[in-house]
Amino acid sequence: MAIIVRLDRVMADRKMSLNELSEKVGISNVNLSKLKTGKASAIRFSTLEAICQALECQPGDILEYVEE
Amino acid sequence: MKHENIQKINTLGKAIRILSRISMVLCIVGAVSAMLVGGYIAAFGGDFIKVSGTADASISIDTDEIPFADNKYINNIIETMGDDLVISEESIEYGDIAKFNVSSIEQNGNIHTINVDGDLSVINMKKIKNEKVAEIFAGAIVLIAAAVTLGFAVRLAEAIEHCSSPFEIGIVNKMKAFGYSLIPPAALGGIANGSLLIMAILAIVVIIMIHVFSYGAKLQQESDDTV
Repeated sequence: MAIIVRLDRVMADRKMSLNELSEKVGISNVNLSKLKTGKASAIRFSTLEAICQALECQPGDILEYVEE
Repeated sequence: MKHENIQKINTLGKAIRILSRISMVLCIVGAVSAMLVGGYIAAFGGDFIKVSGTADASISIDTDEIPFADNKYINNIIETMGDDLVISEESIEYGDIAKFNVSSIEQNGNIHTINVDGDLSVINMKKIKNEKVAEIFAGAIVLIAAAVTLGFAVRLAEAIEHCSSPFEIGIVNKMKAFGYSLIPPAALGGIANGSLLIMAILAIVVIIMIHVFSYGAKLQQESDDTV
């Protein structure tokens, strides 16, 4: 997919575990894992907002466009 | 906790599963019985029943009982009728069973009598037997086709009974199999009953519903993949 999710990089920068982020964002570990591994085909604005709030970052830090 | 509508779908699925399974067993029993009976009848000798005889009849027409009638006109009709009134082979189910002919027309005042001679020839039992055996085997084929369709209905009902959403790929695939399996019995039944057009419309509606559910399943998958 041309959109790459850089969640793992931002989480590593913030030293935040998946369980911790899951609790803060309020979505399941499974769904966060799907997002992290690029298996999710879409993301809700509400989820993106919650992740940005928890990781104190911008959507652009999490999502990146790579030309195929 | 399942949504109220999903619970209803599950309950209906269970009901359909039970009914379909009972119907499928009945169809299989019916098809096997029909084949056994058909085979048994096919083993009968061609002349196991012989019927022969004669039958005479007279038809009386009292022109006085017909109000406002022009006697001359009625006489002409009756005379002409004598030539036309031949109840021939075609009017009887097994062609060569009987033949009726007008032997004479008598007139006594206002009463016209048409005498008919009937000749009941030997019943062609071989023809009757072959037709009945063919009908029974055709019925058995329709029952087998119905049993196959009901088998697909049972599989679909089982999936519906346990689903958490009707828009699952597995259910749509089973729905497709069921929908396409409806075509042979619908076509056979339609040809037999003369309701082919209605059956064709129903088949198209079922196919449209399959595509609707197929699209619904795609939307459901997209929704499930969205985090």
